[in-house]
Amino acid sequence: MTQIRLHVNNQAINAISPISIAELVALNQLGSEGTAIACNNTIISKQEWATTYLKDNDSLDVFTLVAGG
Amino acid sequence: MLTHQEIKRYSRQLLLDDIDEEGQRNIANAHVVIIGLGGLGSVAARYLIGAGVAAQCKARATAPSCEGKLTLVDGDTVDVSNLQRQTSYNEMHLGELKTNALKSELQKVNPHANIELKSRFADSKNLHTIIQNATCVLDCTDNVTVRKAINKVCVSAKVPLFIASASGLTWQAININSALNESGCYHCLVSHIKVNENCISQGILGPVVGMAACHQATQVLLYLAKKAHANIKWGHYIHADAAQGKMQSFFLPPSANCEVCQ
Ligand SMILES: [Zn+2]
Repeated sequence: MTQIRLHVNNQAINAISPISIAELVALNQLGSEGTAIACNNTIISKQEWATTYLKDNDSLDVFTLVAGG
Repeated sequence: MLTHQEIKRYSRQLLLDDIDEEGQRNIANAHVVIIGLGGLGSVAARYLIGAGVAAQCKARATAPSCEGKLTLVDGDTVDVSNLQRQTSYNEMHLGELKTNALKSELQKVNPHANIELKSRFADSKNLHTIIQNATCVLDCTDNVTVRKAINKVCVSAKVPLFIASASGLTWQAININSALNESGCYHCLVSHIKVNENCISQGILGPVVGMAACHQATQVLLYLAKKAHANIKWGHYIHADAAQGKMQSFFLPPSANCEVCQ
């Protein structure tokens, strides 16, 4: 267990490694309907959130998908 | 060879290396399909027609081949609540089919444009026919079910697909080219995610969806002009915050078990 620093939507947060995206989302209530997440500028499919573990200095972008036109 | 009239009409964009004369011919000869004629499609169509998509050679009978065509697909009619953002329509069009209304407006810009109308809503049954022989498709629809169906048919037919969407003060877009096999598809993005798709309940500011449409039209014109050599990105999802003037681009990798693209 080590402390790592993550950047979520450009805000620094501390977390205890190992931590997956799914765990981070649950801990920080990041997810809601239509939430998509990119880690280091690559979108991570929601089904891979639980198996994608975060490293020190990883940068996450959490945003909501829209479908209107 | 472009005619003197064409050189005059398109002179501002002919100056761009990304277009030039060869690109202009390619733009005129392309078959572009726009699905959905709301805030995205009606605006994108105006730019595409202005730039010479489907510009037919009725004006120059001597030219050998003119394959160009713009296909407009929508079963909806013009409502007063559309006028806030669907800038090609006005009060004269209320109650009219969007296909007919848009065609009449586009013909004011270029009377010789070859515009084909399909006045029905796209669905998984009619999409195969709708996109047949298309050079590219613009997804300008407003719900995930149809977007998924368009993605599926374009991926399987390997037709380049230009997607845009908007809601609130956010707009998003992605270009998908399954022939390149380098990135994911719309299904990779939205499978397992429940997208809140009602733009009416979320609200939308007119120019925000306009930005998405302008982005889409820009990408399409660059693609049509230079095809494989076009200086555009495939498989990158753009997320733009119109209030903050912030635009981000994220790579969309293929999802290993995507039932559509893998
Ligand atoms: Zn896919």
